[in-house]
Amino acid sequence: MTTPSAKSPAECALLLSQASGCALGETRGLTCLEPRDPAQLAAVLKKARQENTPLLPIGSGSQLAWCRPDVFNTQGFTPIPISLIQLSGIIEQIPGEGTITAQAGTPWRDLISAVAPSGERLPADLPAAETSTLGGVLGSGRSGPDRMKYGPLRHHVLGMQVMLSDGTLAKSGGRQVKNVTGFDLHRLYTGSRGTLAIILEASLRLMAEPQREWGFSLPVADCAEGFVKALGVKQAMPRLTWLVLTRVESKVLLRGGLAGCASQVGADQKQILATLGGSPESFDLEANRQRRDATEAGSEALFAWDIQSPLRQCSTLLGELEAQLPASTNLWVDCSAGRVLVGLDGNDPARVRPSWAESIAGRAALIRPLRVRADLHADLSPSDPSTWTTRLTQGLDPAGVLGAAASCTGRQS
Amino acid sequence: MTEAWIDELRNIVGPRNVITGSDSLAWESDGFSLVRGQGMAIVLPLDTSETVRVMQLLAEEGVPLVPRGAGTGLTGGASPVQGGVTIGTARMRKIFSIDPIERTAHVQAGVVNSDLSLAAKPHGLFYAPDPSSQAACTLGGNVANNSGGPHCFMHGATTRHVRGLKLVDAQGEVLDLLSSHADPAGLDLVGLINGSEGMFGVVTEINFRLEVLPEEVQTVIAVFSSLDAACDCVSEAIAAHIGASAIEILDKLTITAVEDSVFAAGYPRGAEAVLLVEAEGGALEVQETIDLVLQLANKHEAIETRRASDGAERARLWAGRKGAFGAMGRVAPDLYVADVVAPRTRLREIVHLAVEIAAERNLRLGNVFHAGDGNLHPNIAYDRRDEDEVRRVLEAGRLIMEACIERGGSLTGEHGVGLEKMTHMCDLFDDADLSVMHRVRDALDPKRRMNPTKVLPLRACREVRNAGMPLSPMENPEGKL
Repeated sequence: MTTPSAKSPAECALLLSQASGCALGETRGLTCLEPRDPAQLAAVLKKARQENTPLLPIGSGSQLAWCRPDVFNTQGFTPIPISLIQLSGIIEQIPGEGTITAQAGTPWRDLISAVAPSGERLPADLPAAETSTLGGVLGSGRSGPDRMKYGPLRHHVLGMQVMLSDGTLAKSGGRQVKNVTGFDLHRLYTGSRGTLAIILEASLRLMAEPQREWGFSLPVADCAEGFVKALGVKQAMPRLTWLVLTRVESKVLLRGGLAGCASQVGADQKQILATLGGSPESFDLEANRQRRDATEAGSEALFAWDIQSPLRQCSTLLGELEAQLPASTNLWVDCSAGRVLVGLDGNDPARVRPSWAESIAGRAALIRPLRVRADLHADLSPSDPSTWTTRLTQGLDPAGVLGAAASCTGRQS
Repeated sequence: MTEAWIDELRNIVGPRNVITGSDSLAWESDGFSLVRGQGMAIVLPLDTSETVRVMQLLAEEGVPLVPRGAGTGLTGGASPVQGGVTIGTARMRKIFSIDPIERTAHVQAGVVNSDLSLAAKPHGLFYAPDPSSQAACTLGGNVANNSGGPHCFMHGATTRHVRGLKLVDAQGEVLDLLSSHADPAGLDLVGLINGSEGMFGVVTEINFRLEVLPEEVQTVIAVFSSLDAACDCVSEAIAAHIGASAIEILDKLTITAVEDSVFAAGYPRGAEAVLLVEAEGGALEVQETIDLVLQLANKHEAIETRRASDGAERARLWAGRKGAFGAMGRVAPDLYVADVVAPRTRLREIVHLAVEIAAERNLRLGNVFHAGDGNLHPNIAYDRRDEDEVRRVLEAGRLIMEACIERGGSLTGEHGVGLEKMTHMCDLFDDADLSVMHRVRDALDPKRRMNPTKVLPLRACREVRNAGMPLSPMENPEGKL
């Protein structure tokens, strides 16, 4: 969208609402377009194209933070939030198939509840996303710490139906656990942050609910030392389900867990405790809560930066970060992926430029600023590997109706 | 293309690595031998750098480009039906590095699938996707087709094992996505390229995720007096969330063909079906899984169950399974390998239908399939010199596909669309779905030079369904759509 609208955001939202019949709702204090069906969404998109009004898909708005258009906008360029929370509901879940298909606005917690009776769980543990929507979780490309066992969530997206900004309704993939028919465009939409299309429905592979879960928590001196220990445990026990380091209020904990066959979990936990040494706390009945607590700590709610480092360099990187960061800065490290989330320093979004960013260049990648306007930190973000992203964005959204979303990350959840 | 261009290509890759004329006959088709085509040349670059120079040169010529691994594909995806130049990865055989900390391997695209697991073994690692052709097929070809294999039941198909890759597009530009990061920084282009069947460029290097060699592996064989019972046993095992790594079924014709061949595995010849289940992991969880398999097999009246006594017997059982396609050569000179996906709760119904469809057409059907994933391979033995038999084979293949789709299944589970199923894309997708795939393709290859006339129908579905025009290159071998 190259021509900024002369109208105020409120006027634009009202205009789109009146033209399309789409209701205006309120999500986290934002006036938001809430289409009730695909036809209404198509009407909104059509009017947005005509009016040169950019749209910002926000799901339930849980990831907006400093991307809120009303808090931190660019002069003359304010995208109108749009949410699919009215398009909610499970479309198909057949016990024995191991898959679920639901509309994009379905709350994540509803999916959890729907699959539990058949002894299944979702392919990513995102308890902090329970109020988030399916479309938002997928659009923002999130994964849980249990990716160590199951892989990232994007690997378990089987198919999608989306609407392009020109109103084209299109599907890719399917609802089967194995399928290579056509291009995997759903992989492209997952994590695209709403810049290519608006997700209407998606199918996910499900995992078996484990017979037993067990977790541990071990205090360590600092993250650098904790990561060395984590690598040792990972090497000794390939069946770990999750392994994270958390630094909250200067207290550093190495936490991890197992899930699976009860007898195997029992045997493996002894091996882990022997490898860990020290005096770890061990959790059985509370393992699930422990896992959720640890996951919650990494829910991105309080973090501004997402760094990824090769595992063999991660301990050194953490040591340097700890030396530079104030003791009050929180850290969360997924030890299986080398992913480090760095907390906020202060509450002013304009001041979140990290002083340490230059020092990690060449050894780790600053994947993205979370919940902060990406364009403020464009020089710190990794450069696009090619022109492919631009070509794909222009190919699927030539009018740039959704392209506005590219300037703000982490929004669609 | 003139002789001058051929000379230019020879200058880049060396004279022996540009193949033309009668020497190029072996590249006329892949494993889907019903369709053949002859290109101008086959070029075998050594690495990314040579591939870039070749692609840049060919961009000036504007010729069609066909990427090719080992040519073991089964849908005609590597057949040069539009002519042009085939870019083969046969010389790209280097395993650059294996990183035991990251559990990754950086390889060239022409490395043979099974060679990677051999190289990873000293590090206590292995590469999980194991297509039946793993002793010959290349990893680049696996990426192009998002290949599967028996153990993908537990580990997932190729796309779940690719951390990054390097690709040369039709213009000779390099897309370097060989990042060591677990998540993409922007769009998941790696996910898009996996399974794109060579439509976006030539993959030259790949960074694969490796798995830790399991502490314990056990394989069990259950013999059934009916194919239905074997299918029902699998459906119940899936509903019980069985923790197996592979669940395979072979039927009577396949068992007989295997036992008559060099792949003889000790499958009981009189059996109507054999169920082969493997479990891997910790000793206790493996034991529990195997106990469950035996319990379910007995419930479904298996006439015999036994565990592989050692690694040698296990290897023999798997050699039989993976050699099944080759063994079918004893039944007839040609083999049509279908690849469809059935809902896992309707396995028995669809296998039954496939048997009926083949019987009605007097065809010899062997079923060997990844039952755990619902991925069926009804294999029809035939003689391509018999025109009527070829017609019946293609008809049966189409009807089996349609039956799967009608019941909520899919067109292909691991072989891809290629030429064989291109027009059948309209059975699963509508014009709008396909138009978006075309838009993605056009964004990345606007001149449509990469692997033309594959995967995506070039006409609207209504026209494709019009019986008055050629439906696919299979029915129009010159490829003039």
